[in-house]
Amino acid sequence: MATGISKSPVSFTLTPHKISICILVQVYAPPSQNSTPFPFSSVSQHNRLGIFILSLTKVSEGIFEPTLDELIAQLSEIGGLLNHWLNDHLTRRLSSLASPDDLFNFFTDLRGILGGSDSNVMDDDQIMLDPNSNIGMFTRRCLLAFNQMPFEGICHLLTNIGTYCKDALSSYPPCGISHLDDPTDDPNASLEFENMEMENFIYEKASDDDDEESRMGIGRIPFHGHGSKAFSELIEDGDSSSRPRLEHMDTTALSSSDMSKGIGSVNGTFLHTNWQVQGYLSEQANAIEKLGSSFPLNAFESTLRKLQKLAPDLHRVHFLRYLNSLYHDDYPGALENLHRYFDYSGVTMACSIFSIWSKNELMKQVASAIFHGTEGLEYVPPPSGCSTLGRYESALLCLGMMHFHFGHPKQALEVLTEAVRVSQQYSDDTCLAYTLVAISNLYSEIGISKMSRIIGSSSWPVAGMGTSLSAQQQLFVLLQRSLKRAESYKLKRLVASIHLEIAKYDLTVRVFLFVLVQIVFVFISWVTGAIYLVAILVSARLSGVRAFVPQAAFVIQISEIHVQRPLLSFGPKASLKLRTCPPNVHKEIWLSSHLINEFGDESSVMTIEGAFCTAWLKNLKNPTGSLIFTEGNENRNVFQFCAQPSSVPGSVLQLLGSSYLVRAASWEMYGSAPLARMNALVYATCFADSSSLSDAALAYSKLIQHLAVYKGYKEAFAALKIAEEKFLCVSKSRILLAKLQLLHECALHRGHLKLAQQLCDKLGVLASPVTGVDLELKTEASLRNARTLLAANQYSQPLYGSDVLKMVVQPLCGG
Amino acid sequence: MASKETCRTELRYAVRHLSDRGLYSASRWAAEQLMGIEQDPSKHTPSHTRFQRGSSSIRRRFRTADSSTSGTPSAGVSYVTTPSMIGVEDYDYDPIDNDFYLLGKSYFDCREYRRAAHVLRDQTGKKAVFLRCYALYLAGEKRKEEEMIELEGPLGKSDAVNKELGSLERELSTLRKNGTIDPFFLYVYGLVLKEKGSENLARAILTESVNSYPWNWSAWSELQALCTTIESLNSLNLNNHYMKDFFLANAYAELRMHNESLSKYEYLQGTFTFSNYIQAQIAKAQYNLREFEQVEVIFEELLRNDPYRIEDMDMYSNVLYAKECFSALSYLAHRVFLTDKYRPESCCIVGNYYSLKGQHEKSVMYFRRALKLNKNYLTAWTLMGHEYVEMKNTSAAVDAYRRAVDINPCDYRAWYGLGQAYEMMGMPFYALHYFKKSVFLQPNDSRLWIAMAQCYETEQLHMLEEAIKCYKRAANCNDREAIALNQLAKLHLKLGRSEEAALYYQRDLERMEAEEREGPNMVEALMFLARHCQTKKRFDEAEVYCTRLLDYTGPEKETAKSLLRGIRYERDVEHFPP
Repeated sequence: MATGISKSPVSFTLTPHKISICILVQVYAPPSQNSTPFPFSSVSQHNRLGIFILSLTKVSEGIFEPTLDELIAQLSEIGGLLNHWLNDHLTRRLSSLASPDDLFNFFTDLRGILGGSDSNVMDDDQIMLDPNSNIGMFTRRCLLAFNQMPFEGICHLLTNIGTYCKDALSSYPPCGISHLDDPTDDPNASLEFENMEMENFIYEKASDDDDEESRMGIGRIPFHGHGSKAFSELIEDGDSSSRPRLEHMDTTALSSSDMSKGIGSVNGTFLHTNWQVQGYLSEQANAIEKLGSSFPLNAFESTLRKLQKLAPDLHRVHFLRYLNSLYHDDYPGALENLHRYFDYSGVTMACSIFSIWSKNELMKQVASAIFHGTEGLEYVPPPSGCSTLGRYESALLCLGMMHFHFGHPKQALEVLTEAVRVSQQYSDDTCLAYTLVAISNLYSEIGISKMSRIIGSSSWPVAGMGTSLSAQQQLFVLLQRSLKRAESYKLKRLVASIHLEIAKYDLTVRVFLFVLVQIVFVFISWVTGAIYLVAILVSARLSGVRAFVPQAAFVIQISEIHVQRPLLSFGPKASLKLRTCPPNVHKEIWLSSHLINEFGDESSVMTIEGAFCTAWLKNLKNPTGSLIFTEGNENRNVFQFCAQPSSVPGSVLQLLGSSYLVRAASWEMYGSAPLARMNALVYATCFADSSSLSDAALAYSKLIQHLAVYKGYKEAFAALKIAEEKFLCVSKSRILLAKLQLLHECALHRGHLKLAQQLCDKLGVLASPVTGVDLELKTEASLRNARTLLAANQYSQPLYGSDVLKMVVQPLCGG
Repeated sequence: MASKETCRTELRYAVRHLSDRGLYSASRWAAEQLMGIEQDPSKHTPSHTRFQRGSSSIRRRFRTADSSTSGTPSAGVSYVTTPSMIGVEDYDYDPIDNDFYLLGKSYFDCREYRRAAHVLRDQTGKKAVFLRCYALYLAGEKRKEEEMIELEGPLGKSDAVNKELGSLERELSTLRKNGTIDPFFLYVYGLVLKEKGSENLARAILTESVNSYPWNWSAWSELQALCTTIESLNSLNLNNHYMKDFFLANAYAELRMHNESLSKYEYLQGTFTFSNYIQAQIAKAQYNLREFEQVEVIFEELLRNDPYRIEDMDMYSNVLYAKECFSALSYLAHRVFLTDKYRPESCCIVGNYYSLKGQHEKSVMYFRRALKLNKNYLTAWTLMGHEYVEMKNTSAAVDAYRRAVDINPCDYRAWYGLGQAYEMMGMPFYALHYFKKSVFLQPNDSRLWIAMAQCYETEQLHMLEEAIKCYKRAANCNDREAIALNQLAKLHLKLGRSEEAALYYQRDLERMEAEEREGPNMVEALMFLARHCQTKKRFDEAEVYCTRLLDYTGPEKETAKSLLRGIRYERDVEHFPP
């Protein structure tokens, strides 16, 4: 279970919430009962409570444990008829814990429900909790934690239980209390009865106190009404007047999304277990990457700040902060937090996550590959004695990517070079492999000719190759080398990514030999049902399409490409000497996606369990009721289905999705528009959830362009409208680009040359004025400009002619 | 500034007021300043003034009691019997209240805070109420400290919260609304607010407190801790008072405006001539201005007057460390350890001693102990980082430095240490980030600029132009070790700019002459200049340099001779062209 992360027994602390779960466990598996124990009327009811408990122990939503109120609310969703009884029982048992001795007795009772290790002796009629089941493990951990607890700890626990109950009662409708007088349902009535008087006393006292408190509280500080007092106090800073408003804004912006709850409100004062918090953080990291700049910056930041207050040694928080500032283009913040994270990470490396980021989607694969950590740089236990070496290289790698992201190619290269040097020094081959890919990425993005000018002659990783090779060849050699390295170290995701990268590289080399060889859907075996379905659907379509693409059609397409420019471009477009052929491209893509097969079984089960549980609990809150347990609920729509976490790790899905995008691009390049469209369609349908927002936008814009070519502008504009709504928040996005392109095409088509020129200018403005950045965009703008000029028959003018040439050539040469 | 006599009277009252309320450190501070005021020579015989400096504290106390005009009660006398001393403070004369107060105060003095608060629970006298509030606050603080250790979870110590803050805040804010609040309440209110994180309100409240009762140094210190920028300091609306000068001097020092702070203290010394506190603060400023000689003198005097002082002695030990005074440092460590070994300062001094002795493991142990006593002890984190660097344990060093930086982001030494650690690991580009931070905080420290320049100069980076810029900055801010000029010359030479190189060699030479230093740099400079002048046909100059080179033994002498020969030949050729 969670043993991988939490090694020391100290890492599991008892909290009132866990005691509540223990109480529920006692209800679930009471000692010496028949197969359907007392309060339950049916087996399904019984099982539901079991699943509920299981989910409670694993849910990774937010950083705080829920308050008693929230727990009771959730409980009433599953309880049905038992609702009142369960709530009563829970609050009663909790408030009966008034002295250390009560706690001792409670845990002795709890010990009783665990079955012995020899399960074969077990009586069939009796419900025994298997000590090795999930709930059994949880119970045992609670017992262990209690046994190891010093007396101070017990005192704290008691105080905490007191406030836990008190907070709940202040807002809890009195139904629980009214039922209190009704002990008929209680299996342990006799036991409870003895405590009765005392209990009532406690209730009175608690409510009295509470009254007093709220009276005072309302006069002075309505901000802390009840519950989570300590925390609202903690965050109530000097600028408290402004922050809540900000938070509010953020959460409303996100209210449709599923995480508003975890961020906006403070649930309780106790952190979830280490493992649950980690799960939450990695979910958030995914969300940041997926949503980009639309992720709520301030709200998440304040959550992180709270987390850091409570767990100052959880350095991962700094990394999340880094990601957060990175995606909101806060350069100083990102820099500061990156450095801080890696400065601290040396001492507590055991559970550090790792992610790097970059502008183009290949590096995103790398990033998430590392982030999810099955083969992450630090997950590999290093040989004894040098356990902290890995982090410095990783720090450099991250920093390099960060500079790349912020458009500082010079610094990025400087840092990555240093990363290469340091990883060579510490013989950290894994990091070296990643760094080389990062560098080749940088090259392909910026253009190698420019790069070599930046580097100068000395001290760079591929200096050995000499200058005899052309720039493109150098890039190719670099990729091949990293591929070999990655293969030899069994970095499967990296190998897959490099294959993709090589495919992209091949794509940029335009060799017009069209041989359609490989259509690969071999790897779909592991994909969940929905993807299966779509895949079958798609391949059915495909079989029709395949016959439809003869070579002759391709020739026409080529001419079209020349006139129309490929709808989408990857990397620099210079014409090349190196000859590669389409089979190679598809071989690479196939290799890439083929490798993904191997992830089916080794996915990080724990995170997914957590995500499942979160989703399950969330569904409880849906007004429609529980989806899982309503039988025959077939008409759930696809989106909801996709929202359910699949068993495939997100990074792998992303990688796979990316391979579809490349595939789409390749088909486009080789002239098969329907195949390109289909691939984009597959991507948009199946992988939109696991991909980042910008990738999804890319796929959409592609589809729109396809519509424009084949169905006319009207439909394209309609589709554009839909896409614009979906990707509203992303500034400078692909969608905007697609819109401008579309408008431009349209204007040219209709002969509105002035308008076309204006649109060209707009396109040009989108690109950053810094040289070496946004090359693709600049090329696009210049080409479109050129086409406008050509359409206006102005090519005869020498001034324009040279301008056009310059405009097109300049960005390509990188200067 | 108020006359010395007024100051004296005011402070005497203040000591009483403050200690009646259990504000001990403020009262101690006031008493120290009281003793620091120079006696009026007209009122005393010369024999009294002769003892002013270097006399034992007993004698000084005797003299003050002697000279007091208003009959200051000696320490044993209860204030109840001398109602004249209560003065400005409004005081509840109800005798029953008074007995409660006395019991509460005694409990308070025995550090039984909850008990004290309980005894005082129904009292209405202002002093009693204050004592109750303050006792509650302290009880909460004590519990907080304990909880901090008890609650250490898997992810480190979570911040325990003082549980009394909420109720105290409510009570104090009601008092404030009623208008029955006095400056002492305001101080506690400010404390509570500060701890709760509402800094702006805390600042306003504390300002109110010090404006109506300026002699509470604790309130000033809290206020200072809330002024982390010069803007926030300037925005305070403070009444003019000599206590404000104390405050400003302290605040300037914390904002690294050492010269301003120094001048304030020197001004205050006019009145509080013999204040140990001011002397120690001056030493601190001088230390930050790297005037180690003066710091040493001041501390020697301080120790003569106040031999059991432990405050600020860690700084003295740093000075002794920098000057490599083994025996003095060991003597200091011994003395301090006998006085109180469980003070972070004491541990830090011992750590310094072991570090000087090269026993870094032991040194780290003592720094660790210091940090256990006070985990926010900045100096110890930084020094421990240095030790780890010495031990080549770079990752531990990085961690220690980073903690220092997170406690106080203005600690340029720790930033510098981080840079150094990363440079040691062969990551010069990464290290640059940290060096940049440190030079930003301390732009006038040549060592930092030189470290940064060396970073640029490494063969991995080889960014010579940037290195030159850094060396130039270093040369401009009084480079003590005189590395910058020589390096500048060398770098220019490397880049083939012989004119600039000659310029810097010349400046370096002048400097060495002025400071009367000899060494390989001198020879190098002379040699280059001689050759340079020869190629530029400035034979007279070249001859001068060559003759100076002749003073040295070794290969230089021979080279100089041959150079001279060459010069003579060239001259001949020039005068009598063939």
